[in-house]
Amino acid sequence: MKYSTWSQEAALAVLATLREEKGAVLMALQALQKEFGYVHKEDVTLVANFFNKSRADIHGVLTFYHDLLTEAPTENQISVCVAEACQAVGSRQLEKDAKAKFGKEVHDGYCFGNCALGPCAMVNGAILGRASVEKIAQARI
Amino acid sequence: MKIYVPGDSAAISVGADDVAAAIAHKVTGATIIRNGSRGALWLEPMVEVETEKGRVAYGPVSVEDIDSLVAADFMHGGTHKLSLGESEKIEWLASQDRVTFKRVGIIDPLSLSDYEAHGNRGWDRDECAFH
Repeated sequence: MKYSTWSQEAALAVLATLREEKGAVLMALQALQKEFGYVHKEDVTLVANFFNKSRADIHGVLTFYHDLLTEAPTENQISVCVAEACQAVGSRQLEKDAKAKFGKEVHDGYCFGNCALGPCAMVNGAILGRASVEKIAQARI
Repeated sequence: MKIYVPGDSAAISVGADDVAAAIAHKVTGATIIRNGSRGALWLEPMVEVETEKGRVAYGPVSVEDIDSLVAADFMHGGTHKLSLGESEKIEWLASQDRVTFKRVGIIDPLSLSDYEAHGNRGWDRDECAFH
């Protein structure tokens, strides 16, 4: 996935598109991540000023959602579901094996709503049912 | 020749898009309809073909199975190790009385004419007003 390089001006341009929205902190963080691939540490101050909130408010939202990244993403983004249904069909082992093979690309996920076809993983936004390390490897870029 | 390959997210997560593409490539003259899943997710991707005796199902189908399915003439309901028989007679489905999910898996969800062909006129405001 190609992202723009972060700069304060570019971040403010993204926020400007949300000027008419009320209470759009989460939307703003999502929009920034969509543009730059992650939420830059200086974005916290920019978003706080833009919406007239405290930096603590923005930090709270940013760290609450696991899908919001605070570091530039790896080329592939892999989430292995470790919620109950997938755990029951071996996702902890899959997560361990995937982390051993793909390292920092792998994160925990918490239910993709595909419980009947677990264990599930998500690779670059695409959900894999009956996931295995081999299937994840095939789905990577 | 109508071939149904579910296009819902659960079926896609286990390769339905690839299966649909492989069938389109290997079976000439097939009309592939991306229906919803009938809900028997352990059989997904569940491929169905329209035959004289009704729809016949195969599943779970993977891309690697397409050659042998074609060799078994699945396009006309031929027998294969993945044969599930007539869709309507699959025990888990046959025992159900569906209400809100009545059409899911049966029709092309994006086709109004298919919706109408199954006796529905709910989308037509004038029709609704009179009934």
